[in-house]
Amino acid sequence: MMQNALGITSVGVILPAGTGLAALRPAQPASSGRVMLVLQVPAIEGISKNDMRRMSKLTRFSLFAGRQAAKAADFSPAAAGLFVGLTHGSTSHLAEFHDYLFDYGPDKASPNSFSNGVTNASLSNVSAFLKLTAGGTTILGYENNGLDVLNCCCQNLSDGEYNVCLAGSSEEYSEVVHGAYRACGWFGEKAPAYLPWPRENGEGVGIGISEGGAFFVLEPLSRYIGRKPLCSFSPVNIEEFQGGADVVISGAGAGMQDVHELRLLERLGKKNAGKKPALLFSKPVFGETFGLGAMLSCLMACDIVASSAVYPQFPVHPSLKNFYDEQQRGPAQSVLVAAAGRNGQTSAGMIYSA
Amino acid sequence: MGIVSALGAGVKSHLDALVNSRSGLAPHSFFDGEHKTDVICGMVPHEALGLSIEESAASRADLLLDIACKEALSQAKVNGGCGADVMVGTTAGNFHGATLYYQQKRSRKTPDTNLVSGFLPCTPADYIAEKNKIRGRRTTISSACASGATAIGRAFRSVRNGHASMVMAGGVEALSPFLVAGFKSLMLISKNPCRPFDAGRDGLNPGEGAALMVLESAAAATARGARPLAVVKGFGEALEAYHQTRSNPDGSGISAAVKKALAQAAFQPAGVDHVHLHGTATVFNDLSEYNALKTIFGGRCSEVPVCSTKSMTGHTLGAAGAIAAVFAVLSILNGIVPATLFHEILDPQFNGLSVAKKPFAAELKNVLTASLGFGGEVASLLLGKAQ
Repeated sequence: MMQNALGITSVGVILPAGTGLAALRPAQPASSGRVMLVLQVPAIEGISKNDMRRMSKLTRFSLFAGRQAAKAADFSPAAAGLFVGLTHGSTSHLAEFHDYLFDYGPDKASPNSFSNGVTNASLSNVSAFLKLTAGGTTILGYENNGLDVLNCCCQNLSDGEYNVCLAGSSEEYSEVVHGAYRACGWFGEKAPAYLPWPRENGEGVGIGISEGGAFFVLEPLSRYIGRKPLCSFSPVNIEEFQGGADVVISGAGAGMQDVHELRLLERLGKKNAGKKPALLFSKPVFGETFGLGAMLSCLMACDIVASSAVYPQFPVHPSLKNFYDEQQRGPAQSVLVAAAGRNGQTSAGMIYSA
Repeated sequence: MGIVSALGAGVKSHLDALVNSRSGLAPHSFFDGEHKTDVICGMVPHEALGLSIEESAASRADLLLDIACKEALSQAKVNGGCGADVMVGTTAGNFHGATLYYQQKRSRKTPDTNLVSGFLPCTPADYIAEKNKIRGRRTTISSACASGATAIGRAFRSVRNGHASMVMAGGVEALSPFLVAGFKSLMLISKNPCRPFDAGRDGLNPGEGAALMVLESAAAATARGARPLAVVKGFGEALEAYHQTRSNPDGSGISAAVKKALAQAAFQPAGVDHVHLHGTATVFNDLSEYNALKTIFGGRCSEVPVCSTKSMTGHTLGAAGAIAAVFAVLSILNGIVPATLFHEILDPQFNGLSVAKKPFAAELKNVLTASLGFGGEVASLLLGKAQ
């Protein structure tokens, strides 16, 4: 399992609860509100207020979290790959673009909203700001996308394509996406939302929506001479998984992916024979952040193995009780992060203590 | 491989266009009433899809990609139900659906929830995988107009390094009012058929299409009795870190990507027989590519014939790099350097650039492609003759 492991050198994060690893520890379920917003992105040294204003929130999240991770890692940008994951892109800028388009016609549509609304805008801004020139791409996907981004980095680093990778995901709240999911009946109208597998009493039906950004710096373990990574990450082939995790973090959270999450956890649970890991959930803590969600699960795992952090517990589904513990008993050395997308694709990765 | 564009559906119609220098560009009206705008663009002909742009709005990218997918599976003699991975590049997916959603919302109608998938650019990869029972992993890549080439390049790496045994890789883009308005807002659309590398070039024509290639290792192809059409020898990528919508005119990004593609194949520029350029006919794109070629080929620049097929298909954005790759394979297989249509007078600043006005026969063993995207994402593929 550890043969393709990579070191996680640093992390950067911006969430409604704040910035940095401290933002990960609200230590209470996020059930008080069904929409959680980042009220202000702190100023970023080297970017003027005007430039910040022109950017989408999504790009600002990426710039803030990407820079926070990169600054702490202090790597050479010329050999660093850059990977960004997302589900929707900047829908608020696209809404603005369409407002101008419908009101004034195509000749008066806003070029700024267009260029900020395209799906790779976040990556191109991070690349330009941090002078990352080695290559990379934006990966578009669903709720498991954050793990796919990290797994893609691992593949590229182990193949020697880059020396180091900056990898992250961002997602922004917009009224359009909120309205669209509400219209589809997927949004949780009654608190508390986000609960994995809605209860029989109707609690936890539907998603809540949140936003933010999270970035990791990853390097091959062979590069850590005389220093220590924060923790390490290894992609997991679900077919070949043989168990062994102390904790499992799931991306279930009353979303469209839950049915696939349940099946995935059953499969993984059966392979974990003889060991009953604690089962934790990231969505009830951070809200539904779509393409960012699995990345937040990984951050949570880092926090558990690197800082012995404790996260809120939630009841597990009856069909999982034989495989998982509802309580985290003692410190964890390894955390399996598993996630499914609404299209049924599944992804997994293991976070180990350094 | 499979392809659909303004030139029609299928590899055969694209080879016919290369041989006979046929362009698929034609005027089309977007928007209604006072905002009606006529744009010369590369729209997939009605007979290829059977649906107008309005009729297929919310699923046009799915349908285009499916045409390319079915042809690629058939040519590769891969049955439905295969375990191949799918890697698709796109910039907007079915975003026309999202535009309609915004429109309905503004008119205070209850929006059609089927349009919500317009906000999810990764749906075309799911669509073809489910429709054709392709069971492998699905990945959607967005590297702007370099998306298609990046998808093929990443698929090549994945197969070469043993992460996948077979990948269906390529790109798709569907024309939509959003993309037309976006490029209009940036003042990049020409009122005439585009003229890559011409002294009078004044912009691009938006286009649409899809192209997919089945990539597998030579050993795997041989084992199942398949005959490779061509070989992917190298892939290079770079980020310019320069500007959100404009290429760096010094060409440093594209030359870095090309050098990586050549280095990966342990190949010297002297072995390159032809370069299939991005050639959008915008002022900065063409300048950037010319400067990159000067850096790579030096004094040999005039000996390497180059082309752009944007004047045949229009600029198909996320599909462009994959469509260029299919054209490059057709060039290798048929020994033909395509014409760059509507190119008349070489821009004097491109001194020595060898742009063909008519197609000509040549033995092509190794062809480079170049793709440049918004935000400075660039990619290059080195394709060679199969042994």
